Amino acid sequence: MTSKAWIVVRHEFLTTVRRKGWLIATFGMPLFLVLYGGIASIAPLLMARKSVQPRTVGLVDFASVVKMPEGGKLDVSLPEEARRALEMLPQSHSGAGLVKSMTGKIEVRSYADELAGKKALDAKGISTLFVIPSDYLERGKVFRYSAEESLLSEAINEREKKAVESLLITSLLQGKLDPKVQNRVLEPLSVESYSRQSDGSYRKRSLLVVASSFGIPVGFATLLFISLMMNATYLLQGVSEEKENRVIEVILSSVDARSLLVGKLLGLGAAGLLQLLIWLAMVVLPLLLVLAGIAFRPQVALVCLACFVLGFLLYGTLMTGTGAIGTNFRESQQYAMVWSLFSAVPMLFLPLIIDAPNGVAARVLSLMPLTAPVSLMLRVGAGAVPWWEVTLSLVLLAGSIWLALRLAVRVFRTAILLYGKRPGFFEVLRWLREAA
Amino acid sequence: MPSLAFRDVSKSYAGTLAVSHISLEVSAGEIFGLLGPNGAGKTTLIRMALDIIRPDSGEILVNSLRSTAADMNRIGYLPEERGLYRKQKVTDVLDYFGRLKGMPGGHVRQEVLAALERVGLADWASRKVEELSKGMQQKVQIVATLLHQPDVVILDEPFSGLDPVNVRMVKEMLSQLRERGCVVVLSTHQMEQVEEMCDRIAMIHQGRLVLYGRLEEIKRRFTAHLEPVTRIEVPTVSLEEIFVRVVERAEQEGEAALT
Repeated sequence: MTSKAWIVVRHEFLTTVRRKGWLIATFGMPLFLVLYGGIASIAPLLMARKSVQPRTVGLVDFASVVKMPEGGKLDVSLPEEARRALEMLPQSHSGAGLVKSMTGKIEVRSYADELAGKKALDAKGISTLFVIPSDYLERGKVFRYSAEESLLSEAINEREKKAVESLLITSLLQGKLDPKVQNRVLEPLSVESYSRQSDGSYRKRSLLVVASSFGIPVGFATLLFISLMMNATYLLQGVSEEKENRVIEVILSSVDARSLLVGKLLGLGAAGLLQLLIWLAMVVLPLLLVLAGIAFRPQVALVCLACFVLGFLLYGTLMTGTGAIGTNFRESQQYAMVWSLFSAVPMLFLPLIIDAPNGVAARVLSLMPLTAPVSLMLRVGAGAVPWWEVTLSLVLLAGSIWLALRLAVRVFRTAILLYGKRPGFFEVLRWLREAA
Repeated sequence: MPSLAFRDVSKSYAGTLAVSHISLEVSAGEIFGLLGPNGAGKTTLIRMALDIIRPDSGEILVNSLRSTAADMNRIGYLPEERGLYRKQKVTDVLDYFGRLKGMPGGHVRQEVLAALERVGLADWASRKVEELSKGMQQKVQIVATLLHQPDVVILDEPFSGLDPVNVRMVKEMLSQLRERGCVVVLSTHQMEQVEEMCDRIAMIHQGRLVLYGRLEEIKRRFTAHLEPVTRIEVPTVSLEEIFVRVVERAEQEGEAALT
């Protein structure tokens, strides 16, 4: 690289990091994410708060299947599952038929008849009334009456249903089965999953592990996209401005087109990387570390970093070459939008890549240079990818940057000097042929 | 001795000939007028001199040598439009241009401030270019062109849109460059400025060199065809008149050649 290219790198870097827009985005984005996360979590927090509030449900048992514990006391020697179920049983029984049981978060009250239960429901003494009809054993049907009707209350209703379900199972099987078998009926399986690692070993798989190991690549992929869009826009804006006010002629009389293009890419790329590092330091890294004492894998982070740098260089080159064709910034932006769409393609295949990181679709996407940066990031996060495939993807990506640079320089050199005239598709093709 | 020479230079775009077999030379200490109607090929010729585009055939010599990247540091260029970054500070723009022309980093900032002082813009050094008036921007542009003390200076329409005060400033700058022994190429449509400032001219039409030589000789040649009105009043033809006649003649010849 020529010394003049370094002068361009320095100028582009300093110009970019001094832009108000860049500073606001760089330091404002983490703040925005925190604020956004805070606002977005208000509703779930309110829901969670509601769900942990003690609920009181009513029960009318015409089939006489629910059995009460003697003296209303619980057998603490019972296994956890059974204890949890029994905790839901009524602890006392008044002359009016009121049975009350504190069941952790669900309190069950027994009513002698449906009318009494519905009166309590109307008076908001209970939130739900379960009525077990006399033919319950034959048909299995239970009636539920709720005081409120909303989609959000479904989760709570489900919890109440589970409580009554456990209560019924425990009552129905009491004394008829071995307690161990009874426990298994209540909770047939508790799955502990293991998944194969790149070194052949198996590691315990949990939602946290999956989320944290996948968080790095998805985080990088999202950041690549945001940073790419932002810095490539600056690149386009700079080139368009230089073209419009003819600064480009002064510059090109001092430095050749290739050095100028490389200098611009590296300068903007460095600004993009700095932005990324600031984001990582401010928000993403603390978040990832909290998530993952378990799952942080340096080799995955390295591959992600390589994908970010190479991806930026490829898309930056293509966008600059394409952007030089436009007669003004808006037009250049429209042309360059084609490449933005390409960079988003892997996100459309996200479920497929997560489900089968070594499947055909994931492999093809990570080998095609335009989709490789994001696809490879997602693949290495989702599972074990053979090292030779990672190497091949990165080599192909690097090769495509070389080719794109060669073609972009040719288009840039010719198109940047065309004022007020938009070249046709075939004219651009001719330039590319000449470059090849 | 500084010089700029075009030797049998041709350039075409997509089959259209923009410059056809042009040979001309500009010497040190002269102001050379490059004339021609719009689309004649002047810009292509200037861009080739600046090494922005390469000729299809022929060669361009800077200081008698085939031009190289290093020679580009010896050329100063003033574009027709204001070739400045409007959103950046005056000193930052000049610093960048100076560095690109090979000025050492530690030296360029001092030179920039000294040059701005000379043109009376020292107080505007930290302002953004867009905050300056058109005349001030033109001064900054001139500083950018001459900051690295080039041997060859190419100016494209330097008088365009300037008030009389700034026109005079540009003229003084051209005279100083001539006195310093620089090669000065002036491309403009303002014939009265060419008549006043230029020693020799070249006129291009449809990519071909149609007029080339000393300004007095050309004027004498065209004036010789005119009859004197009185014994003492010898009619003279203006450069504008010559320009129009040459273009018309070239177009007639072109049409005759086609028929």
